[in-house]
Amino acid sequence: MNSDCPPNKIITEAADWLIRRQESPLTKQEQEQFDSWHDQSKDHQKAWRMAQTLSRSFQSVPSGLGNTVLKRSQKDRRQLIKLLSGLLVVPVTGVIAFKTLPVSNWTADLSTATGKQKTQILADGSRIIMNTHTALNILFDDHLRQIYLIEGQIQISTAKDSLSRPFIVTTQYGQVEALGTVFQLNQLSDGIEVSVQQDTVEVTTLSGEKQLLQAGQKAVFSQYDISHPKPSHTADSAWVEGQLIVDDEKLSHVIHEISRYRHGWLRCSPDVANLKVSGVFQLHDTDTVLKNLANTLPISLVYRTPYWVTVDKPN
Amino acid sequence: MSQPSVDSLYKDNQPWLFNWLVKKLGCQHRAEDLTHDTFVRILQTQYKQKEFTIEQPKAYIRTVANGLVVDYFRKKSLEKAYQQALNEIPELTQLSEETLYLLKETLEQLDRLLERLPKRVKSVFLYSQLDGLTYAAIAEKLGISLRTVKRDMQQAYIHCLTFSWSEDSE
Repeated sequence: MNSDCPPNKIITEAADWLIRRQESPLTKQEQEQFDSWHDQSKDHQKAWRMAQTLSRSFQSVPSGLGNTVLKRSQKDRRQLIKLLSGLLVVPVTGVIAFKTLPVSNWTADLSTATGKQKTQILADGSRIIMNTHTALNILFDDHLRQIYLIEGQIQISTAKDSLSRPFIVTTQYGQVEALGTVFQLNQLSDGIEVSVQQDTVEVTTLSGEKQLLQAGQKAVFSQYDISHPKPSHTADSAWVEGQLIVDDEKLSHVIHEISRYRHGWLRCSPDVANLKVSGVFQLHDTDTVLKNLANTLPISLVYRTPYWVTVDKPN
Repeated sequence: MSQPSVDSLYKDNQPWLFNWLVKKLGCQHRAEDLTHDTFVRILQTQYKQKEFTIEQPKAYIRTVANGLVVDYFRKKSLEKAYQQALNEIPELTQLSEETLYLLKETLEQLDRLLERLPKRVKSVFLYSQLDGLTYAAIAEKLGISLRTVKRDMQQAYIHCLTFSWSEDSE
């Protein structure tokens, strides 16, 4: 095994053992199971060695000190964000600040800000289109073409590789291996939606579930399971053209989609959440989209500031 | 190789990067340091990955530098919290210089490790690891289900092990 590439399965198993041992002392039988797990390979041993180092590190820190330092307030972070960002001229709350420039994205290889898209051609000729608010790392070596999706939505068209290296997208829930294809990943709140436009991909969750998806299919996976494949629609890839296509969707869903492309706070009041919407919207100008919605639906837009908009019932 | 050498990459980009960092950091010396660190980081990455090519040098350099700036501020805020803890917890001052140094190194490592975890996952994990609370106690404290606590613990463990896997080159 290439030591640069963490073996997801072994790491997940090590995490499970850590949790089991924390819940209650192992029985004799469990201890035997653990021992034979541990002795399977060098990688198993390495994973467990790291697990022990981690526990020891925490144990070595006096809890008062650890609490003050590691749980230090979000306020400092907020100041940090203000310091770092030339964009935040209006005073905003922490939530919005985090949304504008997520901390985790600053160290990513490639990222897009809210409302922006970017196309990147990789060293092997593959193409990545990144949607709004997306961050990823690129790890290419002699054996593997690997993308680590930190957050957001991407469409990938893989190119044929002269070294025949596999093309894999890794996420926090598992990985997707491309078998010569065009496909998309979208990070949802509790999983990843994969939809395939050309050929086939293989999804493997952290827990080891596998599923092949063909062109025209989509599915959502989390670390434990993969949903049944459903047909995907052309509307799913409309974002690549900067459009949002909806057919008989709830207004709350449409507002949520639009909010991904806007700085600040966009909220839909429960009073109008269930209104149904159909149409094609241009995502580069969300203010106009909102105005059009207000012209065709019984709703009103309440602008507290340009960054704080509520969609409400007519006043 | 069609790749521009690090030499020319440095010559072409050092001036704007330095000015950009001065603006972010408000300090010429720090900006000099981080300009240097940025190019060292790029050299190291290039050395490690044979297939590595830079598609958009300016954007790439800015991303690397931004990461270092964030890291700099994170360390600074850690330092502040650390000093605060020393003032507030008298027992700590009885520890030897060496122990304190090691403790600070450990905190620095853990802080970096936990940085990317979602807020709730991080709280759950720290209640378990620092305060030694049971999963049931954490569930009650945060008003979430036991199942959620376990999932959060799993996510945190996987994250930490994955992250340290690549750093541990043994």
